[in-house]
Amino acid sequence: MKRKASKILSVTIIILYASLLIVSSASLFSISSTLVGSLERAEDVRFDSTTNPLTGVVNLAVHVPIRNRGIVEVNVKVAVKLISADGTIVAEGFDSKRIGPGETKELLVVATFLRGTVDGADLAFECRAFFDLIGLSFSMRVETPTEGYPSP
Amino acid sequence: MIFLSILPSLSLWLLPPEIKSYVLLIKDYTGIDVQFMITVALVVGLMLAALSFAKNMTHEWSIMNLIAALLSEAIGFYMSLFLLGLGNPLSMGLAKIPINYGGGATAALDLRFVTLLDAAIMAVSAAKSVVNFYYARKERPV
Repeated sequence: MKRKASKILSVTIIILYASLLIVSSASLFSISSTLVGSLERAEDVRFDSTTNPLTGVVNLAVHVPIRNRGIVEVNVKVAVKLISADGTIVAEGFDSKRIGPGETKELLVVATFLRGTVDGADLAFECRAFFDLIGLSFSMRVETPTEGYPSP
Repeated sequence: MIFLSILPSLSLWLLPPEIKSYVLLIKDYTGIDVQFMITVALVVGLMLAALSFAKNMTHEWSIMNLIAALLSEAIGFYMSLFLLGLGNPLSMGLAKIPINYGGGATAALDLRFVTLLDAAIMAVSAAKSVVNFYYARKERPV
């Protein structure tokens, strides 16, 4: 009886350890490969903007190509929040896509705002793998360098 | 003992000065104190070695054997929480790393599922120790 119970528990421990090793290494490898693959193509990020001269409304579209060089599917999210000088969110846009191993997909973030109202932006990038249970995310604030500049 | 205590300590001593300066840079830019993490690994390694010695020196039916086995599991789990949280075991696998480059950037590594699997391994290992202790006590020669 002792041997049987102990053996069942030992096999369970081995299965759990193997799952831990396989899941974490495959996920972290895919996430880091996707991140590196995307950073290598950072120059391919495209910004398209159109401004209505009458209303001053700006339509900004950011095209972000993401390449998954890993071995499992990843879920990538890109979000942009445009912020005014007093900290309120002027516009926001996000896109997310599931990218299989070896695939390249383009994420499109669209934001509409009034010209002259944006003072900075919150950028966020998130990459998750294995049913979105393991992930890595980055977020950063970018200020537009307009304040303090002398007028021509 | 070798993996947790000797190898990390030796590697920190034997590292060339340029790499050591990177270790300091990591601390400056991200707040991750690699030297502190290696010191904690050293202490944990010594504790695990002492517990392993105590476990091997006692009979399987002894209560000391069970306590040493359970403590080893608990300390091992603490160590994995410490490593997965990049020095903060209370983060439970969700490590938030502020990046100080002049702007406000943050990176977050979500390994909560790995922590959950680790907790399951610790629970099953503890159950195995209790089962072994229970049957060893039952079969103990009087």
